[in-house]
Amino acid sequence: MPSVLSASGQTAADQTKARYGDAVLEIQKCATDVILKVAPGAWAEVHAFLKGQGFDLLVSICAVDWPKENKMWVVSHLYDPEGRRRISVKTESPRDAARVDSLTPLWAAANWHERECFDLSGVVFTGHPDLRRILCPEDWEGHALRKDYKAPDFYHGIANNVNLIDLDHRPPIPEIV
Amino acid sequence: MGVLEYKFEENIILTKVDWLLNWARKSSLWPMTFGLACCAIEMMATGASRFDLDRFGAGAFRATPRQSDLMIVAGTVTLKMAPCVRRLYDQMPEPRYVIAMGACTIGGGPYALHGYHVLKGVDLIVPVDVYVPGCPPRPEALIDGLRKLQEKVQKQGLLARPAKPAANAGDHVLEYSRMDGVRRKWEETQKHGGLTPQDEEAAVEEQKKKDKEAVAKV
Amino acid sequence: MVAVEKDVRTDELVINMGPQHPSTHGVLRVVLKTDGEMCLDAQPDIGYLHRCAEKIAENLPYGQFVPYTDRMDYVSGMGCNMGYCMAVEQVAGIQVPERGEWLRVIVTELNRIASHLLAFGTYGLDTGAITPFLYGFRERELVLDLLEMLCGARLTYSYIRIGGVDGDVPPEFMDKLKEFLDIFPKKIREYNKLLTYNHIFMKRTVGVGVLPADVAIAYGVTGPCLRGSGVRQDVRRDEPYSVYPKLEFDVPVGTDEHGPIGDAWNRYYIRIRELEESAKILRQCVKMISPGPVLAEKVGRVKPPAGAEAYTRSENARGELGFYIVSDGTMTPARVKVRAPSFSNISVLPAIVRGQMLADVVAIIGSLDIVLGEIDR
Repeated sequence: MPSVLSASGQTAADQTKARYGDAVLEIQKCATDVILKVAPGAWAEVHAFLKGQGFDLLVSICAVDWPKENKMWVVSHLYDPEGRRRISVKTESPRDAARVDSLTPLWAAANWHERECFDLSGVVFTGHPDLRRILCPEDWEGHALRKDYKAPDFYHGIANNVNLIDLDHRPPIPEIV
Repeated sequence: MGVLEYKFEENIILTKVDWLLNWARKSSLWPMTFGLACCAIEMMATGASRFDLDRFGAGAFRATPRQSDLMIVAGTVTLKMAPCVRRLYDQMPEPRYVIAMGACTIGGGPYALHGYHVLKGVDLIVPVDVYVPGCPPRPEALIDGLRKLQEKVQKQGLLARPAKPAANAGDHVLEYSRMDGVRRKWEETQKHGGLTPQDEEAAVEEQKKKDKEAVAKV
Repeated sequence: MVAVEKDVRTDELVINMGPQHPSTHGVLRVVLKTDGEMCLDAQPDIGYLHRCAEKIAENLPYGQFVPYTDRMDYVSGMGCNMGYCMAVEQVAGIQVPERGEWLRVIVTELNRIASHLLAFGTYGLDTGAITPFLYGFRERELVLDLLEMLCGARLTYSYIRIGGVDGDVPPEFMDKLKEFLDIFPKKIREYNKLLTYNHIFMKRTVGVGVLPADVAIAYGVTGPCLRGSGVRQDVRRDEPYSVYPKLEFDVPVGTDEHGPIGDAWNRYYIRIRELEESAKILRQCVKMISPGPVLAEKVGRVKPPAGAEAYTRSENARGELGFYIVSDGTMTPARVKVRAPSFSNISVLPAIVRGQMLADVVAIIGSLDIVLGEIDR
């Protein structure tokens, strides 16, 4: 039995396309959602428009790393509680300069989602009021969900590489303050 | 007082001071309310109605380290949390004991290989007395671990615990330890060079071949 | 004559609460800014349980990630199993047999009951009542016994697999489930007597931590917290998945019967009423389930086509649980993003806490019913 999924946001996608023309690069369809693929510059504008259309709930923001193609997706999922519609917005930017406008002025929810996205994938959200790490400690190096990330062998004197730790003879306990 | 009341008046009890102190100590181990992750739920279940940790004198969960003797490290310790765990341990008064509850605290558990932010065993930062394996361990297992700790406490000499934490966790007797199993498994995965999908496919193919041979024999 | 100073002058004080605090439900750290007994600001600091689940997902074959989903929302692991498996099934185009879907709904609803009972018990503890904890765990153990019959685990089940469930239920399971459903309504009435309408408890929770509906939506709050604010939103009803379209159940929302809509008491009471609804769903499931296969045939190794992506949402005990999976055509996913309901639910804390009394902060955090395992993943 197939899972019954949400009503699509196809109409909203069409309206956005009509409004923004070339800034909306493509309207994709995946198994569950309608995906609006937009230019990085139009990221905040398109979201503001969609919010006006009734998509009040920002469900999530995340980034997908594609090292071979040297690009980074930023994907957001929106929900309209009144009309029960879903839509997803996606943008693509180069890995080294992954940068989009912050959605925090539109949704308070975006604050934490963007911080998480910055922490784990290294996407910079311009205009974010407080863009710092949220999950990893503040002195953590690197962005863990990038495909070329390598975990540190030691963190403040604590061995962190499982291959280095001899389980029979554990290293001396470090003095941690 | 009940049964003991008026029984020992004008009597002499002969016992070793060591034994008496240890008996008192082991019968009222006060654990710290220190839930980290999934194991904490099982720790709560151990303290709740069905399993009732109070039967073993360890039901008084204290909310502060300064009133507790026993730290049950229940759940994954991450690198961000590690300094806090160490500080809590340092705040506990001597004599203090540590139970490492669950696979994550023993050696990183399921997060050991790819978990960049997970401490690979809490004995890297505090000395551990008893390891209780499981993911998460059942309440019965935790009670068993506590009983093992009580045996250990009963055996210790008076003022035997070092004032400073031991330099190496390996010095402690690892009772109820499953480290051998963990190590063997780790060595096996190293032999295969880690578990990649390709390796796994090869292993499945091999198993299929073996199965076929076994069927042919029958 | 000495002049009496009418106003007591107070200074702003920053208090650190957590990560080791008995009432933060795990390892949450909250930095509180207080003025006397008044709380001016509360900034949650999370990440003390960041276990790298999303990175691990990228390194494991699809099927092997199922046990890690148990450990995200570790008090309702079945719901996480189901959310992840639904997402993989969407990406890979796998059909689940009907009995498999029924069993999935049965186990997730049972797990929802277990989760809400835990929330009930620990919320009692947070507000100073120790007895409800023991009562809540008494029935929770009955539910765990049922789930243990299916998969042998009490907490981390991995019973739901890609393509269905691990195996059919043992023959005596349905009878035991009916027995449980028979005694359960009586127990709910007991909870209401014990805690819900307890005078002290109501004094501590009614009118405390009011979360208006528009603020809740702006912060992306879902689940019982949003319904407590009077918004009738439930993924099971709004975008029904699995066999939920065939089931009849109500979605309880907060009322202004005892205090303002969206206060801590309402958020708590929604969970108690959801216990009844879950029991109602289970009663229907027991009647309507029919024999058949429980696991799709030839699932084997999942290898979705390159570029396939899906975002599936399901209603877990804490709200909308979403899994976003992107495939790159190999045996391992390119990205698994978990949209955890507690992550958004706790981010609203500064907005609720402002202007509340310091002692109420614990009551507010408890009423949000967070699980750090899924906040930090």
